[in-house]
Amino acid sequence: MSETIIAQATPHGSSAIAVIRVSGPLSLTIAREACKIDSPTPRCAKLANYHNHLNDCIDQVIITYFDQGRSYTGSDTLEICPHGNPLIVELILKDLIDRGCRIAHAGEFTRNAFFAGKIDLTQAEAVANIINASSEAELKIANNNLRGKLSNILVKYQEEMIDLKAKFEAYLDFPEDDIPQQEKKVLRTKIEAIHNGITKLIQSAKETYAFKGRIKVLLLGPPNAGKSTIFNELIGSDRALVSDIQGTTRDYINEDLFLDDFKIELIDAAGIHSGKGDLEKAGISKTLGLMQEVNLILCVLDSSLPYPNDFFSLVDFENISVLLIENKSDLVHVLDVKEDAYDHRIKISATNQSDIEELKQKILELLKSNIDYDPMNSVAVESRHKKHLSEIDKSLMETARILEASVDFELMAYELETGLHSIGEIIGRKDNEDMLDSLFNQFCIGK
Amino acid sequence: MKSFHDSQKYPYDVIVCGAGHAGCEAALAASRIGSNVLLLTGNLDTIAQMSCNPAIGGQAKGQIVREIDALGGEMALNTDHTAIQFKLLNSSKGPAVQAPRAQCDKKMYQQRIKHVLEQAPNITVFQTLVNGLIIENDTCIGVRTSLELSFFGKSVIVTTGTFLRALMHVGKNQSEGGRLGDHVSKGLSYDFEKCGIVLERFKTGTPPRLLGKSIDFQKMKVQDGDEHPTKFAFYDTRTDEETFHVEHHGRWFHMEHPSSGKKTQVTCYTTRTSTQTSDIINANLHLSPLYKGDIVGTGPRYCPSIEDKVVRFKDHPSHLIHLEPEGRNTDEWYVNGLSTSLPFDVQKQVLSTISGLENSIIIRPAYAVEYDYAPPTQLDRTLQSLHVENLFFAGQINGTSGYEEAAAQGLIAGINASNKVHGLNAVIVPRDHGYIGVLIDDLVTKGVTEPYRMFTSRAEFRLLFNHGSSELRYLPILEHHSLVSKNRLNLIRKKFQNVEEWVKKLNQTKASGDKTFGDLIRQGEEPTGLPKEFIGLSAATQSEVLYKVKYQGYLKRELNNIRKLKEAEKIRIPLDFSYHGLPGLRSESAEKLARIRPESLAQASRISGVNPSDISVLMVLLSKSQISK
Repeated sequence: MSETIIAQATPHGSSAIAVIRVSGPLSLTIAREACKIDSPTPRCAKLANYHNHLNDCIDQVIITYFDQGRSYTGSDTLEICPHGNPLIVELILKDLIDRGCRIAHAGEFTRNAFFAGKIDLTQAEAVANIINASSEAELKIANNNLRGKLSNILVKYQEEMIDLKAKFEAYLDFPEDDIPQQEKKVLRTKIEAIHNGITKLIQSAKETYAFKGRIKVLLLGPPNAGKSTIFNELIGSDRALVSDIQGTTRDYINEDLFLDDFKIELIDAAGIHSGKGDLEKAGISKTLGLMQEVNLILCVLDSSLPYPNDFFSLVDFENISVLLIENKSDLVHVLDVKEDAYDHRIKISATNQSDIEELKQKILELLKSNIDYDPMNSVAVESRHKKHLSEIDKSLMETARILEASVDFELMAYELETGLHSIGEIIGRKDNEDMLDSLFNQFCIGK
Repeated sequence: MKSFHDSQKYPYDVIVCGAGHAGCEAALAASRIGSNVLLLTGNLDTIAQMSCNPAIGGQAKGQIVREIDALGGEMALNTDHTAIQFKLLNSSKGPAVQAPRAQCDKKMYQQRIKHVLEQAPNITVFQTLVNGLIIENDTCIGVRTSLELSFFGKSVIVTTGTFLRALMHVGKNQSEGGRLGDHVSKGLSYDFEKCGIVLERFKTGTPPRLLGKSIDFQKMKVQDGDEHPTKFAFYDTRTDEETFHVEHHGRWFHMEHPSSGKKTQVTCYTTRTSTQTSDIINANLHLSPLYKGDIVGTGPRYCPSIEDKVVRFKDHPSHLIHLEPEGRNTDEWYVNGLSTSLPFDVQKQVLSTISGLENSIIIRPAYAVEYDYAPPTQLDRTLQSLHVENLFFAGQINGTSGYEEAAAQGLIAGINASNKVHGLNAVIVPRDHGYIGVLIDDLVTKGVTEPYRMFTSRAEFRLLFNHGSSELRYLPILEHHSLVSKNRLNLIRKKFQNVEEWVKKLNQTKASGDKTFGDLIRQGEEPTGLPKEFIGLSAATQSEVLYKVKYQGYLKRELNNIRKLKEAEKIRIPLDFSYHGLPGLRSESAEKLARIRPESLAQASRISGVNPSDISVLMVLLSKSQISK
């Protein structure tokens, strides 16, 4: 086994801690490069900071290394326990993929353990129970609307692909029957329609990456510009930030904000300044990383202070949608930002209720114009799904290519089958009987 | 021990009940291995009868026939020698989906195979009706027959086709029998049920047969055979080692068969039904036992009656009809596409609305038949019953349809019954070897919901299953079981080597500039200047090489998928593994697994309704049970 496989071992969703399991030859490299622990003592928990491959710290984690031969799977294994925030887990998983790991198939850890002869009597019993429990948890997730939405969409594409495949199969398996000629154009249109849908899903995975279908808005600015006040006013509660992050290493907090149909994840990040402490630096680099993931940045400046050069030397707003908030408008205006530097700007006083309402409208307006927001498509797309979606997409493009080049039905059917297999990995497989059902419904067979 | 003997004292190695396409292959396969075989049939004149259309092969079926040939079976040779028209289907499509088909002379087909059976050194053929099993300690040790004769055998293969509690329908007229003019078998059904073997009902139908001189062929479209016939058998005749073969007995059997050219072949025709046809059928639906609810069995969707087609596809103004001759020495014609159970006078009215058949005379009416089948999930992959030791099932009784599907099962059951008796290893055909592997695995793992017919889409490795590669794909089995002669095995080995070698060579040899022959072939260019030695190879070897080179990328992906399958095949499940009360396994899955008793984790994963988490649980539990042993 030369591949390194990874998976979140705890159920998806928020929790105190999460467990990410890494199994394969890259385990030690990851301990060394991502967690900066050169030779971890086997089966001994260690506190570390997880750094992504750009060397930005993602979270403080506990890692446990299991050497080959004494691990569950029989290969080198690393268990990484970050805080149980879905965002952190996704960021770490994403980074692990960047480092050459791949997401494990369902049951693959157990399968590897089995192949390596690593499962003994008591462990076997325990694992069976864990699998059972986790599938119940999965059932719950499946029932929540986010996951349900994705499978609804995919079920539709699965059906359409089966119908399409049935058309090809009818030609292949019933050459002496009365099957009307399908026009290339019609077939192409059908393939393209599914292809576009899948591409959109992948796109939405990018847009709502790690946010389970939510839209992210990040409050950013130099320290003491009033971000936290705006945060509290927007969500409508006096959430005491400091006490909330006590005992954790999170240097930002997030809360749901409901505006119209939008469910927005509002993130209050630590103030950006060229700080001194390591922890502060780590927090800032994480915030800068976050900027790439959000749909809108609310850049909060204190209008009673001069232009914060320090802040602007650290952030880069290129290609990011930004709303400039000149806060503390009740004080004497000192701030000088060029007239044409920002397309969208607003002057408010965070303590003024009508200003906050105005801000909400402005945020809504910007989100609506910036995001191709289609509720049908804002679905939870996890890393595992994304991989399969890309495979589906590839198979559709390949089908279309063959259609243009040669009309080899058996090859198109083969590509579609590959795509159907990938859809099946997400929402459960349909077998050949379902294709035959479609075939016999579409065509009058019976020589 | 050819003649009758005291079988209680010296039991036959294999007793085959039924001499249809499954029974004949079963008896011949067992005899080739050296078993002493008793083949029982209700009617010697209907051995290997084509009860429905007079043709062998077609899509997926043609490939099966070639695979039967690769495993030493008789069907391919019998077809080649009695065919009266050859046609390669899908010849304009890729090699993986091309399929040979042949119209056969129905009587000649039967006579030749009957003769092969007669000449086989260790087969006794006998006409009698089997009406019961002799079972001791859950083991089958013989059969009882209508003459109150009992025969004893070390194994018994049941290939009774549609004859179990068979009921025929023509309109409201019902009569007992598995085929028009033939008998019914009831005793066996009761004996099966006594052993705990579940039986269910299927139905099938057949169209009317017409007198050729009453048909106006001028109004129809001509369907000629191919200029260059694609034969089914890989070798024209048996080698000298297989001395019993009929072609070595020139004086006993002679048949004019077309070797090439269209002229020596017969012509088929097509016509279409009209809107009046649909009107008549719609007006008489209440007389169809199908629509009245008289027929309870499930029929095949791919072979619907004409009333089904008219009802289900209302917007189709007409349906295609093929006319196929039943032989050279008869003027009887088969009306493909017009299967029905409507009353006889309605059949006449229907024909009168079809172009060219306006004045046609029916010489055998169409009818539907309902029969018992034994759901094949009650078998293991050798086709032995899970309930009764040494009892094997093959053919239509397993819920399949088609001569080719039946013959393939007969061949495998014959080999396995025989091997079991002689203490040899069973032949279990993996899904990646070919359609026979897919067929048997589907039957015993997934079961059937309608008469099972092979489609190429059922084979996940279809691209590897081009008909020409059959004997190469089955080489691993041929190496481990003596199913074909030494000479033939050597020929196949040589072909295998040649193909491997030339695929490599064409991929390495530069044709022009930087490009190899392989590159050119994959670009779809006609390669010129191929090496002389390559041109010197047989046409079959050449086309196999070219296929493997051209479709290389796809075939590699297929082989990759096969490797994944093999990993899961490696995890065996003991037959006595107990699924009940296991922690973590859903009871629905446990029930299915216990019933089907998969032999490997891979097979378990193909059972419908068993999901991936069940498989994970099973994997863990399996390791536990193996450790505790």
